[in-house]
Amino acid sequence: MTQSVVVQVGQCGNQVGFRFWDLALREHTHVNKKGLYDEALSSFFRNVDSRNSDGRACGVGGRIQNLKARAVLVDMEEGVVNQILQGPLRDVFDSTQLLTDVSGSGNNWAVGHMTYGSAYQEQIVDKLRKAAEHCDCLQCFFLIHSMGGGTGSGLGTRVLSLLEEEFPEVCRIVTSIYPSAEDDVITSPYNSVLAMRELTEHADCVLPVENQSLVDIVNKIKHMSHGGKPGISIKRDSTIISGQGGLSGAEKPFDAMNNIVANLLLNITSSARFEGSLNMDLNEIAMNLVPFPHLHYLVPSLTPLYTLSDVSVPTRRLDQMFSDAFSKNHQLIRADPKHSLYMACALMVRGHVQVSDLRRNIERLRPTLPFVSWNQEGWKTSLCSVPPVGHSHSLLALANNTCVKPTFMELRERFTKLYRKKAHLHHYLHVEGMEQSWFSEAITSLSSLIEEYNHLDATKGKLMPDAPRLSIAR
Amino acid sequence: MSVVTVQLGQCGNQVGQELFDVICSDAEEGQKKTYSAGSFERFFHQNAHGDLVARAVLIDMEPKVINQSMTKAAKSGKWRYGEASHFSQSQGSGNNWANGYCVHGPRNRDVVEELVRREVECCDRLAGLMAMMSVAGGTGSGVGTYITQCLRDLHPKSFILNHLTWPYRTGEVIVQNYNSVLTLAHLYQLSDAILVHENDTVHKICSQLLNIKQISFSDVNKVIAHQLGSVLQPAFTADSHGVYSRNPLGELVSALACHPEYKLLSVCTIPQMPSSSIAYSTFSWPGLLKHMRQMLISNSKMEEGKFCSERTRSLTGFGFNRSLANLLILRGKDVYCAETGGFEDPDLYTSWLSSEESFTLWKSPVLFNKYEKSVTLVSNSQALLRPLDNMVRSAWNMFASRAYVHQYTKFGISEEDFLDSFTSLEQVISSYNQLC
Amino acid sequence: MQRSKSAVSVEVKQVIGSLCKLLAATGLEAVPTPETIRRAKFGGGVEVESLFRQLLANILKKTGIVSSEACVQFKGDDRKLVAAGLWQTGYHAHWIYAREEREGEGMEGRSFSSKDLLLALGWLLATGTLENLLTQRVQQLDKTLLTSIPANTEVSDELQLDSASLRKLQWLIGNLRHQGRILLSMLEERTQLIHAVCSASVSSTTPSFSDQSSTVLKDDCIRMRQLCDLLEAYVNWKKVEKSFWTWMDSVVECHLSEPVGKRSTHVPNVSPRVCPNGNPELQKLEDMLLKLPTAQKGQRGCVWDTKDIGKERTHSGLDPSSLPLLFSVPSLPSLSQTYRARLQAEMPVRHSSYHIEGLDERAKAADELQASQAAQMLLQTEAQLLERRDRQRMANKVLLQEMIGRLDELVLIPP
Repeated sequence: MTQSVVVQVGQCGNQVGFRFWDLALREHTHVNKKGLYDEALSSFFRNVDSRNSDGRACGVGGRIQNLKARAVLVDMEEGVVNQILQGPLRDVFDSTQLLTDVSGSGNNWAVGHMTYGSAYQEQIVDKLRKAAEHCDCLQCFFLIHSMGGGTGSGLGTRVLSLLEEEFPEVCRIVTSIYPSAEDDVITSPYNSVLAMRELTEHADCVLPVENQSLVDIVNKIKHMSHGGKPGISIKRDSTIISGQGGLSGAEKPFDAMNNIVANLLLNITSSARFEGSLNMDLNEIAMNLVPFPHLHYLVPSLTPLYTLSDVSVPTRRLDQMFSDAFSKNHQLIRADPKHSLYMACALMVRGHVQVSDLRRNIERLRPTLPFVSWNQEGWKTSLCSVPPVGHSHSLLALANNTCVKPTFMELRERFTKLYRKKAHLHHYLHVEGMEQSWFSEAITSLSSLIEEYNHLDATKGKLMPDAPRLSIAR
Repeated sequence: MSVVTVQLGQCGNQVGQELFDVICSDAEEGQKKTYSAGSFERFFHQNAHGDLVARAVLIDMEPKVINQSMTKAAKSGKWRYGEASHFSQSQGSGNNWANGYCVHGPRNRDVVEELVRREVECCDRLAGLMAMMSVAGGTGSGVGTYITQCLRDLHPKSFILNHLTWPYRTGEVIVQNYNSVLTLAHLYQLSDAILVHENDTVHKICSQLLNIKQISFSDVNKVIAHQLGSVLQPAFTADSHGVYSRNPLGELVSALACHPEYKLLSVCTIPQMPSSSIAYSTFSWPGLLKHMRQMLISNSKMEEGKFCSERTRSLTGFGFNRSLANLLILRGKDVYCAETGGFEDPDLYTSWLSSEESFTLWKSPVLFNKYEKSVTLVSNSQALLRPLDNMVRSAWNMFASRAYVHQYTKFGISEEDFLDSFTSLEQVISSYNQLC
Repeated sequence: MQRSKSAVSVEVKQVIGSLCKLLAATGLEAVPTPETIRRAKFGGGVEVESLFRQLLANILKKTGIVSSEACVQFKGDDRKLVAAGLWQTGYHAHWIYAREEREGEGMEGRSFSSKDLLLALGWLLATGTLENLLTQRVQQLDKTLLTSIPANTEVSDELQLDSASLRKLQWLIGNLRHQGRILLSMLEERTQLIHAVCSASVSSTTPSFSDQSSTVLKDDCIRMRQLCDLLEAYVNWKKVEKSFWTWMDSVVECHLSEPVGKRSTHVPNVSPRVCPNGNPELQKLEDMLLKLPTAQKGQRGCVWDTKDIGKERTHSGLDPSSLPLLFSVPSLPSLSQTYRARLQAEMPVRHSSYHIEGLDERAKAADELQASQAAQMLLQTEAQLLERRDRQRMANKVLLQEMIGRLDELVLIPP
């Protein structure tokens, strides 16, 4: 069994991480009825006997003593982390996993990446190594951060390159929260584009999530549960924005949105943690979904968003779940995959779903989806038998699709608007180690990424002939 | 004479477990003592407590599936896997053939070889080795290929049969065609014969013949196990003179795969029906054999009920499935009355082999797996040509754009290695195409 | 120096010992002691000679070089039997032709010594007699050996070298290979079972065994043990065989270094190519034999074989007329070929000078070998030759097929 370490950086990263740990505990409590520390639990948690003075973890199979999250928390302010430490989850972390400063990065990528990056490099590496040492077989780092701010984007991407240096064998999956267009941070285009270059070069996979999409989904669910059509009632606490059953009581403003991202991370790892008839390990994600090294932005979509209280599950509703995964409304970024080009797609199913359901839906949906000529059957599938809490089944689709391109182009446009006027540039350039070439290189990197997607888009809809085969001389 | 099975990867370990289950319950019900004794000697040995222990080695790079299979076996109460005859690592091969073949395989070679050696030593006489795996994933295909190579080095004179499960055409794994091409090209040099089950075909059997509404992988694996079991259980061969043939793999290989360019074997079994209806159904040998012959000629690996009669008339037309060699296995009641002349028709076979050389018949009067009569055909024919061609074409299209190649070069498989594999499979395709 | 010499002599004793053990295990009676054999190099007395003669006679009888009918005719005259038998294996030494009458003339008139007999033994070993004996004995002892395999392997003569036939041939070869592997695995199992039986019978002491078990089982057990002893003896012999031949070389050298006068005190008036027991009928047969190779040569049209013969001819310095003798040599083993060549190269040279005078002696030679027997020999030879031709054909075919196979593998890859 493999283990993963979550690295949460910045305010947003820590808030999402906090929700993730809460829901992860809820899920395992739900599945693990015996109270034993099992393989599944070990993938995200250590079991520490507090009576042992040396703090050594107990092996798999014993009773649960004290669960400790396999996590490293980094923030350059104290607010969020302190909240976590005073909250119900305080026992899950200990001080050795934390790294905080007091002054923040001032929404400046350069401060996070250069100033704090250099100042805290050793401490960060030290904490990462500690976390890694606690694992038998460390398979994956999950980095959670936002793109708009200073700490998350600047220091977060610095941590990413440190991970690559220190643990080149370990897979790096990054969850990046992209700012909305009407973001209140004025420098967010700079920060995002500078961070994008780091993501393109150092991550194995990036799961882009847009704030606006999360807001839309939350609103939709709220609308359904309050208004709703007569005769349809949503099962209590079954929505993917719900934190019910977790340790934390009162919900905070962003919790609903963050729960969605937390669920994304839970579902992506479910097949690696629990049994199923078709397993999917974390290292299979990049292998199957990344045909070319830089094109590793995978658009996630989660369905169903809620489960109706009606317990029976007609096939129709199961099929609806598959259809929804490809609809515009369920994507975690604002994009329409159906009208762009698929390079590859993974369907990760949880719950009581059989391979025949999977086949039926793939065959049904396949004709409606445009796939790149050389990968007409580009499906990766997995079946995990343990459903998420409150649902009988669920589906996470990860699409390597050119539909991410508009988001990147919009980002480039906003960047160029600022950069043309050299607005706020001096805030960055006076940071030690920062030069203007970083900006030009970052924008070039983003442009060439967009260009790669353009190339693929150009093949869309054209009938591509088969490549001439090797012929055997007789 | 015993067979040592090596189960590799998730698919190999799941199918293997079902296979031993079928064999054990079939042999247990066997009305004839010699039949059960022969079957048990082939696939099981007894441990100190008198339990039946499968002659199998379980190998996977992650522990979940092996644990599942071992638990399932122990739960059956009839047989179990050896306590120490399994090996797993904590991290899978990530669907990457190169990772399995170049990294995991060599790294774990010694352990695996030792496990196999111990199992071989348990056999009074080794008939051969059977490696079971899928071609789609990383562990089954990559590690499986590497281990097959090791087995070949260790047992140069033994028979090695590879049982491969070919993936659904519309993906289980996106790089499945790459993995398949690399696996098949390598195994073609190493293995004595390659027995293939296609998930798509088996899936169809589940839905149309067994009437299963929600088909699980377990259902699919059970069908594969049933067909495989009916090939491997004891039977009388033409010259075994009333004694159960003792070397199933050797007999199978020398009946079907004597030519180095033709090693792909397909299997089909009729009848197959929901277990609830078996008791109420009767079959006649002429009916079953006629049916099977039509399936062979039209290359439908599934009994479909009605056949277009024109097909049977013209043996030369398009869609006619030319055979190189066929092995027909009849099991059940009144098996000695069965008339198999229809399969000796020279028109079915390539012109350069006589039908005596092409056709082999095994019989067993013991009912197989509760079926009153059962016909299994193992065929070295053009049956797998089309799926193989599709596989190579898809992989070649992907290779032409160099998609995913970087994932393989990372572990030391170069573009030349890909080209070599493509070349040798094109050779196989061309050989089967020219079968006439 | 001294030490190494003694070490060598100890080694030689051991080597000869293992040979004696092997000979005894093959079922030969009256095998001389190792010391006797070793001393024969330096010329033993009469008793050594007679021991040797008996051994050679036994070997020749046992391997069927001298048929049982002939044995009766020799009426226990070992000397004649040995001479005739050696002649048939293609061994020509001057003492073979020495006439019967001379035997009575006492020590100084003797035409041969125990050394000659030792060399003859070496010749027999080098020509594969040992392996023949071994095979015979194994077949006698091992009742579990399979006699024949039912496999369809005949290849018709009208087989064309087109691709279809090639494929068929490849198929058949593959089939044979698989059958071979099946047989091999059966053999392995047998060996294991034998081993199990043997070790079981050793551990469960024989007395309790003998009373209850049937005689068949007991016999089986004894046979198995003998078989094991035999195979063990053979393995031991194979391990040390090399040293034996080195020693044998020294015997030859020692033999050659003897003064020529001493060796040729008695000029045998016999042609080297005539059997000492020859008769006119035999002569006729021999003439027929003489024609045979040329006829075969034409038929065969094979380059290798004629070359082979030519090589052998130049090697041995024999005139073409002696060819038939070469052909009558039973199967030529590949083992120890070099040694055989040495013996051959050495002996005819000595005899070539007496060639002409010996011609008229031919008729006088004792009339002992029957024509029927010779005819049988002739038939055998013909069968062997035919077999060789067929094998050659097969080899050519395989070669050709390999070449074509290589062409088949050529693949053109588009740029």
